Amino acid sequence: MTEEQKNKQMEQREVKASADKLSENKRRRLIKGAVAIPVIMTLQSGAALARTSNLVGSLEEDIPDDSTHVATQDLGNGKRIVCAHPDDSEDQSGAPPYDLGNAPMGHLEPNFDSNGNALSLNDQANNCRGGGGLVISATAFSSFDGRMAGL
Amino acid sequence: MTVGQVPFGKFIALLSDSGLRVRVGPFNIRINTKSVTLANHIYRLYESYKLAEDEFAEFHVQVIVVHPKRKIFSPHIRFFVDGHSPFPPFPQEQGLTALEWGINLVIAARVSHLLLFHSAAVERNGQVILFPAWPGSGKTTLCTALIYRGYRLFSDEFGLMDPDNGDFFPIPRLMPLKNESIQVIRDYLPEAILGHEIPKTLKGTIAHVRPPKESFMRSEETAKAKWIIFPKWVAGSSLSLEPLPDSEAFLLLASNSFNYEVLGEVGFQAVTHLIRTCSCYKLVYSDFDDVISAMNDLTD
Amino acid sequence: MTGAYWRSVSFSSLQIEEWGGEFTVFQPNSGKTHFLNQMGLHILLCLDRAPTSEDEIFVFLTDQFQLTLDQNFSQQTIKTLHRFDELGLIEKVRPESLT
Repeated sequence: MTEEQKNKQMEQREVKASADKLSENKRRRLIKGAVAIPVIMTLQSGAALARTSNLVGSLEEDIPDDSTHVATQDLGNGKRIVCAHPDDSEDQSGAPPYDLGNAPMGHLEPNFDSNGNALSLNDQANNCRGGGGLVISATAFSSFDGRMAGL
Repeated sequence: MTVGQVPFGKFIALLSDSGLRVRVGPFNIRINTKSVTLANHIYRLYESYKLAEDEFAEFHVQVIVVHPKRKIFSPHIRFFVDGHSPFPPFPQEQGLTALEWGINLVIAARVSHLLLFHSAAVERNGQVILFPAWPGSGKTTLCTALIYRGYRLFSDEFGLMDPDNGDFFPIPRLMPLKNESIQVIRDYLPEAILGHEIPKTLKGTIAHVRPPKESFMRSEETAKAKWIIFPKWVAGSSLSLEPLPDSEAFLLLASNSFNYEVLGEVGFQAVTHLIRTCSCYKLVYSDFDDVISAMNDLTD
Repeated sequence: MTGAYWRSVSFSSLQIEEWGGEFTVFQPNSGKTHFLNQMGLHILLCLDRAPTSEDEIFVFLTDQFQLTLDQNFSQQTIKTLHRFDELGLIEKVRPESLT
């Protein structure tokens, strides 16, 4: 075992020890608070997607909040628009459709702002387009299912 | 040598022929266009950009005016990077926005050795403040006010961090003010140099701010971050600067990164280190004098 | 009735950082980062020690956090266990493989 691995193990043990020692205050907080259940959230951000060439159209219309046409993901904290990035190493001169390429990029748009205010699907779609991204259909997105690492 | 020191005739020749090579933070970009209108805008607004003559350029970008064969269609422009066009055509008068957004896209999509936050970043007294924000939260407007009041611009769009040592790289560029922010800045900073107003873009009306010269002159001086501040402009609000729990700051910052997941464990460790070494706050403001005074108190 | 048995998967490979009673966890196998509260992490710690039945997990948590065990709590916990399973953080153990 390398020195680095040993250090990591020691750090891990310290974290475990710390987690084992629940202070009375924290217990009270958990008992009184709304989080007296186990919580896990998985973070999503800009992610490289792995697939061969991906041709997609973009949705340019307004997106109502009950849309089932647009690609979204819900990670347990509300629906977020899937924002795809056209691959600039692919020839996009025939766009649309856009080519997301062999290593296309995409991210989930934030569904709240830094102040915690909710953003509608349409706001998210506009933010995606404003950043040069493509709002894609649920059908297009489902064709990548299982091959879109991170989304 | 800077763009402003190149005679206009030579500048036009470079742009339309072999390309104008400029330093954009840690990158060199070669820009090529035959559009005289766009060339005029670039000459004025890129005045302080350093030239990167005879140096390797990481990105080659082109803005091309397309004249359709059928006269019923008006001319439009297309943005190309390394010969490929990632965007649909733009109206001809939006050449500068196409160029600036195109460069943003290239940096966001291609830079993988640095951790890239969607964040404004300014420096004072040798330490960086990050202003991560969602679009529309006013980070560019806030950044403009700060850099015209003594702060050094790193970027209004990218927090560019070396994950190995936590250093942030300045990448000073034009800053696109949107809609009402344009008049707000004209009123508050009459001395600020703004480009022409470009109406009807995807984000409404845009006018680009030319950052002060000092930001370009010192664009090779990296610095570490000490504060991470999530700003929000709320009309009529009094200033509030409240600590943000580290766990929340971690999630907000990592999910606001363009390539956090691509970097894997390196990204996790870098964000962990960044949050552990910075103080994190939520900022609500409406008045520039108040917010500048609060930032000065924080960074003194 | 003790419910399914669960055990952790590659717990030692996880990078765990504490933030005042909350945790960020990097999972190298998937490249994902997770946010857990104390109770979420306690489940992983418990399952890292030994394969544990759902009923035993409920008892462990209610004891640690001084809670009353009710149907809502057990349903929420089962939901979290399934989420952990989907993410590859834990897995079900066949009873016959338990010694």
